Amino acid sequence: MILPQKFDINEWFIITGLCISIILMIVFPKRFPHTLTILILMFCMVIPIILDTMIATKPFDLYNINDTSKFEIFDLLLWFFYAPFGYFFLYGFDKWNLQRFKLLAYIIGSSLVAVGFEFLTTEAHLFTYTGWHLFYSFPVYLVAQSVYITFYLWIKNLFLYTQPSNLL
Amino acid sequence: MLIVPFSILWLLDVNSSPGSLVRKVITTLRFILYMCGLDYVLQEFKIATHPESWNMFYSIGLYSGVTFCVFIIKVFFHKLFKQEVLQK
Repeated sequence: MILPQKFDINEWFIITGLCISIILMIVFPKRFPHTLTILILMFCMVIPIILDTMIATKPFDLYNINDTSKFEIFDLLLWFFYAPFGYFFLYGFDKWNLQRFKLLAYIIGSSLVAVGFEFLTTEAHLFTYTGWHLFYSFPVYLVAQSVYITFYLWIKNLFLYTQPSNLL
Repeated sequence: MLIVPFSILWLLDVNSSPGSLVRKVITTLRFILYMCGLDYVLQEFKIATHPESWNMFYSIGLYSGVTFCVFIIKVFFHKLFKQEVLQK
């Protein structure tokens, strides 16, 4: 794993964003059991990693992350930056108990927010597009956030309907 | 990333095997073997690249370590899950 070529705006963006999101996660009232929180954070981290690995590497190579196309230490930190976004998305979904049209509006709204945030990340040179466009990200967010909700409902039901006698 | 679904399958297999330690060990060895096989295929098709000095024994060591870590996480997670299910 290599160090960044220059320690500039993209590195500071990741460090600051990571610190703010961790503080927010601590400050916000606890909503999920610890096991669900761990699974949510891991899942919301793994989905973008898989997508990045598929799209940002050969043969597609549609964008570069951070300074180079090689894997560097701040690419690893960026992985941890993905997780809180999914967490807060599901936090809102659970808190407001959204269904049907409200849920659809919530997914569309949060996808637009995510695209807006991605615009900021491109301005900070976190992502350098070589064949990708910001508008392509919108349907990706729609699908990803729908997958997050499906996963959350599945693990929540698993937690609620598991009887202690069923556990070894 | 391919290791994630394989790890889950391994955990399900180990959990569902009826109490026999030998069967659990065989399942675990099979999982390590599958991972090494997958690693070899990815190398052959040039999807993944290891350093030139890399050989199959390193892969066996690597995946044994990964299996051990997954197992430790599973034990910890299972305890936490059980505790929280009892508290709900």
